[in-house]
Amino acid sequence: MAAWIIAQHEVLKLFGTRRGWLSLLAFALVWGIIYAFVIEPAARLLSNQETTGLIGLLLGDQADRLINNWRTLEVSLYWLVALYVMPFFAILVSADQIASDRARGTLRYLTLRCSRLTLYFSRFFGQLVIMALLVAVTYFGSIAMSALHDVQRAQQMLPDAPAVIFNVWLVLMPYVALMSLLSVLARSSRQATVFSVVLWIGVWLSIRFVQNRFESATWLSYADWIMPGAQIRGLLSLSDWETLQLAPIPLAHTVVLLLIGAVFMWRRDL
Amino acid sequence: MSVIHIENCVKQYGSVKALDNLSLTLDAGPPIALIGPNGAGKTTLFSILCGYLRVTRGSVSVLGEAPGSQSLVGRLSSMPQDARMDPHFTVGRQLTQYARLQGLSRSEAKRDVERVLSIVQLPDVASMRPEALSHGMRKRVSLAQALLGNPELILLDEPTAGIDPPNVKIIRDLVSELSAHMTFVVSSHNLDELERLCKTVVYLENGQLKQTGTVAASSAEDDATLTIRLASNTHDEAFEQLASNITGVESVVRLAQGDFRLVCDTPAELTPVDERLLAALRLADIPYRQLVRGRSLEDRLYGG
Repeated sequence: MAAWIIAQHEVLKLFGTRRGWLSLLAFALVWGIIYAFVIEPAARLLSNQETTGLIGLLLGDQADRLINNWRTLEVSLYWLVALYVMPFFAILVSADQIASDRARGTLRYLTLRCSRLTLYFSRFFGQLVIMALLVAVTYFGSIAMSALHDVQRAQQMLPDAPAVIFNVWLVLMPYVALMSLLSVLARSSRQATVFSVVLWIGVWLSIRFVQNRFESATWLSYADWIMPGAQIRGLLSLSDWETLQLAPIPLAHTVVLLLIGAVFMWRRDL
Repeated sequence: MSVIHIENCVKQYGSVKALDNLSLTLDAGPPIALIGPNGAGKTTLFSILCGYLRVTRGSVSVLGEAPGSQSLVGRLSSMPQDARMDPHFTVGRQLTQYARLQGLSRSEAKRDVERVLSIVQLPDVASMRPEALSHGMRKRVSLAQALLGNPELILLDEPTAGIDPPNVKIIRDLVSELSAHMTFVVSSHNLDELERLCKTVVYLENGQLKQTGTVAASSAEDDATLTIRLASNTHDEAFEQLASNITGVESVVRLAQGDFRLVCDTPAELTPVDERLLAALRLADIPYRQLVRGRSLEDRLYGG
């Protein structure tokens, strides 16, 4: 019951406050721009046979698979953009799960009434609900915008909705878990976001350094899988429910990051 | 029944000991004052009792449970010193959420929020955001959250710090009124306030327990003392002369302008001495504001 109340409150933070609505407005505007100036023009360009041939020639099979994997070009382009752009939104939106409540002392009121771990996991769960809603809104928003030009094409996008939305949501899961962890350590959402950037660059550079330093150790190539989002390149060449082949990777990242965060949450002074 | 039991508790921050081998048992009943200078460890102790901090060594039990235990939900409550509510939600919504987390249904929670807000005399703030309230009102809302449900033990950390006298009075009267139903432990620097409110005093210094006892005067020295505050300081010299001539007065000590302490021969002499003193004051036409038997809590703790 406590978990449900906290998760519900987390969702309300975005959808029930003025600040949340401003964030949503900014999100909608950015996504509208992405659709109007990236997805839609690219779809028009690629639907031209001559251009497709040229791109196939330049970028090879990868581009060809990417373009033709889904039922419509709009879905393929949405898939490409969402896989790379949505994680940034996820980091920004979920950066304040614990940080400012801890700095303000609000956690002191809450932890008198529920355990630290209930609070931690429930807020993570609430963020997952928010991510599912945001992904669904962007996908159905893309369908709506597509319908302005071509209703039939827009209708063709509908059957892919469950697979696309579910998979993008899965991709976002470890990013949200990472922000759960970092928001326990940070004193504000901004600091948690900075931590995530520093961590990302730090881990990436460390992996590259170690791999270059010990080139003969081929097993070090597995280190690439440490980073959340490591499966995104692989996902580009998959479509529909076959994308679930790579689902264990984000799930494993999520579990590990959440557990590390839970240890910090359990031990940290409030 | 003991509500708090602490044994050899140490809380260390690096090399600094905020609590140093503290052992203490407090029983349920009238309000208990927790006092001590800044850095004595009062807030640290409260934070440990609420489960916000963990002890470095030692054992702590609150209402028979470990701090932070889920069995304490609804039984232990607290008004943390600097905690603030979420500025993005109304007071009512947040209090309702807290009440629901304590296990109340939605309708029960709403009723209880109305109840506690009316107890703190702020029935109309439910629809307001915390930032729209004054500091004193926020303190009272914080007290309201501590009263949600029916906790057995409430810890108030500096409940009147930085607020105006009318708000101080409201909080003091509330604690006094509610203390028949629940046990309050109050930390404050305002010793006059604690003296009026509490029966037991716990005095901490440098993280160590210096003394515990009752607020009421008990030592022979206290029993043989009268403290008087004159209406103005224009009669100080005349008073000093007048008081030292009263039979039974051994010495007159000037504490501050217009404030004197009279030490009497024996406690048994006290009643006649205060009667004689009042008669002398009337004769000499020296008005007074306050006459107190014994020394104040401040004098007893910090000398003077």
